[in-house]
Amino acid sequence: MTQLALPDADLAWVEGPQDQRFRRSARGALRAVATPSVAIPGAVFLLVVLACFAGPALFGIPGPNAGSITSTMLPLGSPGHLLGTNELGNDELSRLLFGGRVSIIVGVGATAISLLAGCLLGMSACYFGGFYEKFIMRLFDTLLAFPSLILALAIADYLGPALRNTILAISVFGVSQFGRLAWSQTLRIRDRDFVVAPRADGARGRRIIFGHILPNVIPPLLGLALFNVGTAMMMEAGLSYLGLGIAQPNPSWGNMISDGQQYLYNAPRLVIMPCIALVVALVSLNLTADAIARRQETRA
Amino acid sequence: MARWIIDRLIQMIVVLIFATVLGFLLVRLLKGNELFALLGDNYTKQAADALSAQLGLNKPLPIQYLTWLGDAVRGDFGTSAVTQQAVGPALLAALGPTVELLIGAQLVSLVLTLITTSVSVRWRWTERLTTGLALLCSSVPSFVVGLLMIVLFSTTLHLLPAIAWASPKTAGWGTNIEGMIMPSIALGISVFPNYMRVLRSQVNEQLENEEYVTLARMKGLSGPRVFIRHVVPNSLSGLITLVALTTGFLISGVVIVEQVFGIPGEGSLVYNAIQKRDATMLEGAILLIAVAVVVFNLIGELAQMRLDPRIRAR
Repeated sequence: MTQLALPDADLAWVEGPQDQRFRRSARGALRAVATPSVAIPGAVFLLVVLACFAGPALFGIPGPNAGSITSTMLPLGSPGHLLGTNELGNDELSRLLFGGRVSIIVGVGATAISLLAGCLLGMSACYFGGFYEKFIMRLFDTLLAFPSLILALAIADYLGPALRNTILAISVFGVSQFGRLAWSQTLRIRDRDFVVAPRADGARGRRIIFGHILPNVIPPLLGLALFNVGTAMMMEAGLSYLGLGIAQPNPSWGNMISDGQQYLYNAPRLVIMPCIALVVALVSLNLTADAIARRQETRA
Repeated sequence: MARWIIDRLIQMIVVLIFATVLGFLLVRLLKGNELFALLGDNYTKQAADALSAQLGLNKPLPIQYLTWLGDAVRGDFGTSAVTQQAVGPALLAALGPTVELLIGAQLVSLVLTLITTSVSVRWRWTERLTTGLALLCSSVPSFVVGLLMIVLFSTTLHLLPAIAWASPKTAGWGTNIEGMIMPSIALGISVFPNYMRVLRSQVNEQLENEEYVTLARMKGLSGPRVFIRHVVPNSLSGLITLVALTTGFLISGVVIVEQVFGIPGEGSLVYNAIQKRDATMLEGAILLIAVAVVVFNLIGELAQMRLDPRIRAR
């Protein structure tokens, strides 16, 4: 490896102690976040997350199923029920917050699983090549060509509507996207010196993949992951709307919308409120992801 | 070129075989429940055995798959054990509403794309505005758009019907199209942001880099004229490819919109089949959708090669 071509600053960076490197990259990450186009929507999304997870405990909001049949369909702004109650007398605000919890857990959980699976499959396919690579790539093609919603519907239906199953069903979708990106990123660096050298040195495939390829592949995958959280949340809403995601009595934005649909004429707020919550969460998340992706692009 | 097509066809067939195997395994997982669906809650073991023998479920899975595949290749998709309907004609009957919905959605999104792109090219300061609009549209699920439109146009303003589908044969085309307006918009809005991004980046590339634009300007053509006569036609290749790809993709994405508006298309068929554990129907639908996706992908790639000589040369 020639180090002559590197400027002094970069040399110091490469040879510098580990913790300094970490501090620098942390500072770099901070700088990337500290622009209004990232920070504002990011803050809105974090606020939504915070409200969903800490809100009920902080403000002593009743449980999502703690309603009483004597106080059904209260309008907006009723005392004790800021957003009113639904047809069973359950507090709408509480259902909205608990539903958001579910939505966020599903979004993050499903994305984590598809990121992990796609990344492993894509990297290993590109690294080992041969028939294995062909097989995996055709598998990704199939997952893309396969009616993905049907896949999720069938999985969710077979496993039954529950949080864990919804996460699993939705995670299947993202795998091929992450996998293809991991594959193309690996392809880009597969024949570079820092991959070939340890191989010549006798390092095992596993060590090369995790020690040398993974750190170079992961940043664009993380960018995609942020978008994917939004997509997964959207799918969760869709599945729950169809009655195959999160099941009653547990609230989720999707099933709140489908429940409220029968009162569309008399109490459209039951539909409109979860719609607004969903849209605010998704728009702020996507704006953040978009701004971060843009910054990555301009720096690269 | 010919080699490329043959290559692609082989890949397509591999993908289709994978997809049918996957679909087959998937519905076999549900299949034990198909007996359940037919026989009710408490059936005897004899009845279950007799029924699975009748449906051919007692044979090993690979044999079942090959029998089904052999029949399907010859155009026989079997008969649904649950509804006693022949699968082929049922799929065909559901195709009409879905195709209409897809055409409507594509029209809506193409119109939106052309408008937003020309506006953002003509008045540069609107670029961020249209980008924001696109982001908003891609963040809102289609069923949310659909429901909000129903609240606004059906229950509040009483302009459009909330239950969309009216057969053109019995109700006439006017009623039919009136009903399809909202579903088309709901679906079209969700795909338009991708179209806009592709078209706009290509248009910008043309405007910045190509000499014919400068030449046309030098000859004294007005801005809009250069844009419509020269820049747009040269920028369409990416968009046309994307439209083809999206069409394949949307066929499986219509389930929710069809449910919202009560349209009896492929999406509703699939949804009902899953709910009723209708394995045979589901297998047929999966094959149909996979074929559609693969074929539209090929069309997209071919269109791109036809339209962009630089790719053909490779």
